[in-house]
Amino acid sequence: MEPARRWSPPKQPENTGSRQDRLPHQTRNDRLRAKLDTLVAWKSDYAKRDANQAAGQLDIDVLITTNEMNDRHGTGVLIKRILEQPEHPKPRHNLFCIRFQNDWGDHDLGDWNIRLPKTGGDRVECFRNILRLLRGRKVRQVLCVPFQADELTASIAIQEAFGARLCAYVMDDQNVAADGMPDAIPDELMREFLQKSSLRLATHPELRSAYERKYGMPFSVLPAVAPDALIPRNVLPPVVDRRRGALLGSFWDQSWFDRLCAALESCGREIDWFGNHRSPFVEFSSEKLMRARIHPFGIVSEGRLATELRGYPFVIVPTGTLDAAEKNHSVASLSLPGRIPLAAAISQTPLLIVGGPNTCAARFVKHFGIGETVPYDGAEIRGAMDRLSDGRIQSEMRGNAARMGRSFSDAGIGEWLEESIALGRAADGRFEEAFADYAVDAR
Amino acid sequence: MPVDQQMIDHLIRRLNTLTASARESSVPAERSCDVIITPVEVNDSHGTGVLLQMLFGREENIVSIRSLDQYGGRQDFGLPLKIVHGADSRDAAFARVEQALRGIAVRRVVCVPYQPDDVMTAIALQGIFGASMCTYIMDDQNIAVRGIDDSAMRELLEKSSLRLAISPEMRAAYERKFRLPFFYVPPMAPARLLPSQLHVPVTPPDARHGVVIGNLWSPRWPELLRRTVRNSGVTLSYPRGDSLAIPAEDLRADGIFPHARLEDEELVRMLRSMWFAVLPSGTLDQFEDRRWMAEFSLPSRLVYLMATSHIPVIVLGSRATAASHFVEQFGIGVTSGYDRACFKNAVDHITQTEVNLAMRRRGLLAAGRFVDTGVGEWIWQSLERREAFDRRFEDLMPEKVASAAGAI
Repeated sequence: MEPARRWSPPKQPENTGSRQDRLPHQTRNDRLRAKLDTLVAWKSDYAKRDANQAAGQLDIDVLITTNEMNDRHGTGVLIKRILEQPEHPKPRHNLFCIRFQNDWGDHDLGDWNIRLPKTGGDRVECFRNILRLLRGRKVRQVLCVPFQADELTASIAIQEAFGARLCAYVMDDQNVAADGMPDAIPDELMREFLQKSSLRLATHPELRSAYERKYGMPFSVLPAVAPDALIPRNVLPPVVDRRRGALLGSFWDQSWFDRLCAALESCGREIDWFGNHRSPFVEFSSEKLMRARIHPFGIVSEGRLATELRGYPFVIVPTGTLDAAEKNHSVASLSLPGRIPLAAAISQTPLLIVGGPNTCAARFVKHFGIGETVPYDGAEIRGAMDRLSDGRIQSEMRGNAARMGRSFSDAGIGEWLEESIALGRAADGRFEEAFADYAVDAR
Repeated sequence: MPVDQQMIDHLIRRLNTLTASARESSVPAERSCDVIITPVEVNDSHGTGVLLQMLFGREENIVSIRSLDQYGGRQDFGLPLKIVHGADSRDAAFARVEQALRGIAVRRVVCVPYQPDDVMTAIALQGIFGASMCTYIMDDQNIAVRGIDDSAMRELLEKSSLRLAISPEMRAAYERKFRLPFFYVPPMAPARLLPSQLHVPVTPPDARHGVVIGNLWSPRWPELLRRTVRNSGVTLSYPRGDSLAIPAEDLRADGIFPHARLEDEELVRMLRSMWFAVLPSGTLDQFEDRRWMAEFSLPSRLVYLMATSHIPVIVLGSRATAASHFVEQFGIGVTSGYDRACFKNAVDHITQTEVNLAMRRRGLLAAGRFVDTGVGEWIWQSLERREAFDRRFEDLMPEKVASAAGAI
């Protein structure tokens, strides 16, 4: 999954007077906007709550994430897919989404949404905010995608104060491999959060294994599922094209982009990029893009993505190296980008993972036989491009992807989650079977 | 449109107040406190109050939360707060607790549960503050009586880092039911009242005059006591007997002489001058209406007076009560049914000089194990370790009960 971004505010000038006096206009306006956002959210929420109470008390479900849920990042796409299932027999009409930062500017999930102020780990303040927000409601269950401490504390507060069932859904690690990092979630808080969760989920086996090993509590796997309607029912024919390739997804780290561009310069292929090329976190130099022959198409709908990707011999997915130069070690070592199973399931196109051989992405494509992994090296990448463009190899990989894809269908996933939360364990073994015999690194 | 900077700054300050968000408008925690939760006021009118004052009375920064007024609000212990939840929802209870404790950072919680509200308050405090919590069961309200339901009691116990029980019987029963480890912490006596020498009454032992100790919790017990003492040839003084709502002349006709409550020093002096005490307890038969108390609760008065006066005790009632087990374990008394002949025999036995002195000596020897010195701190240290700091009280567990509880 693509992790929530860490945003740093613009640097402020040296202190020359009172705090307000030294705020630049932009910062001051940002703060004002944030305050107004909060105020409007509180007010509108309370207005709705009053209306609900007049109509009788409604059960609500709560979703807690770091930032907005939308289609522009992996966590948002997956969560929306799971919670917005149109054929769900008991659709969540009363979903309250709580987040702690605004990174994308829009949120489009649920009936209510609010950004609560960060508390910096102040448990009492977090309880106070949650009680003020939800008091008088009947909270049935909480789904939390933990990435920062506030999300865990808020989940604990709702579980405690409302007796709601809590489901932890770990997509990105900020604890096991993040030990000692400034944003790492403290072990004590993580342990309490997991203990209070009726159901613990992880997106892939490595993440599950790492958390089970550290905390001694059982997890189930809920992978990044793909839209059932977009999963081909047959094995698609190979695409023999020695001139083009596709690039999928976003970059978590500037160095990945820079290294990929440098490596692609010598590959001689035109690369069409489907993903967010206007990130607030990574600078995409048009000069580098041009030299690497990368043509950005931006984020496209999943339907179009499926159609587009099926027309290429391979899809490049950049990932971490896990070497000394790796900055996002915890993210890279234990995260599996959700676009990898998605691309394989909806297009069957072989995946060319660029990065370290011990990443979750590398293990995933190797296990399912749906691609290969090479380092950030022009010659290695060129060799892989040629192999994956071979019709026989491609047909074999497409066949493997077709088998894999059926296991990653989102059909009935909302119901599966609902039932699993109620049971406190996976409702059935569909995902355990999908990952049967999966080799988890023994680190 | 030109931006008026001062106006924006002013607006930000106003909005801070309106939204009450983040750190700008919230009151910082002023001081760290420990919270003691009890059903009623903490004062010297009842055993729980006396014991808690003994354990924590001299500590600073104690917040004392109760859910009921039974003594007109009289309390001289900590910062008193009364929190009542009634039938309110769980989130309303959490909000009430958060509001009541605003400005206070709760470090540790000791809950002496009796009412459902006590349990809810404790759970809320532990949740909101992440405070480490000790539950100290002094009176059963779950096993022999349905005062607190199982799910609430289980949640309280599971969230407690340390679980204490006032008697071996209570400890064993709760461990058996909830499959969680408990530790035994008996009632205490204040060190300042503990004599280092044996006290022997100066009056002759054949006076056949004793003293009633303890509370007559069941309305049956006074009647049983009167019937037992009447025409037995034994007479009893009864401090607090004036509170029984029975005409004094009727009691005197039965050989029971009521008088007003005595201050502790005075009472101890009186007991040291007498040959035996009588502690009415439960019959534990089909007519028993205070089984939860008689079977499991160790009367704090019994320990207190044994340690400070060494007076031998006749426990009236069943031999299966916690009080009976205690006097027999330490050899400081005997048990008699509510039967005149049986009672007379017990008095005859206990007033034999050698028997009486031997019991007193055993009382003197046992007294040092029930002294209050440092016991409050012992509880805090045990809470930090999540287990008994040392075996001083565990070693007092009767072997039979200890082995039954040892399965946990």
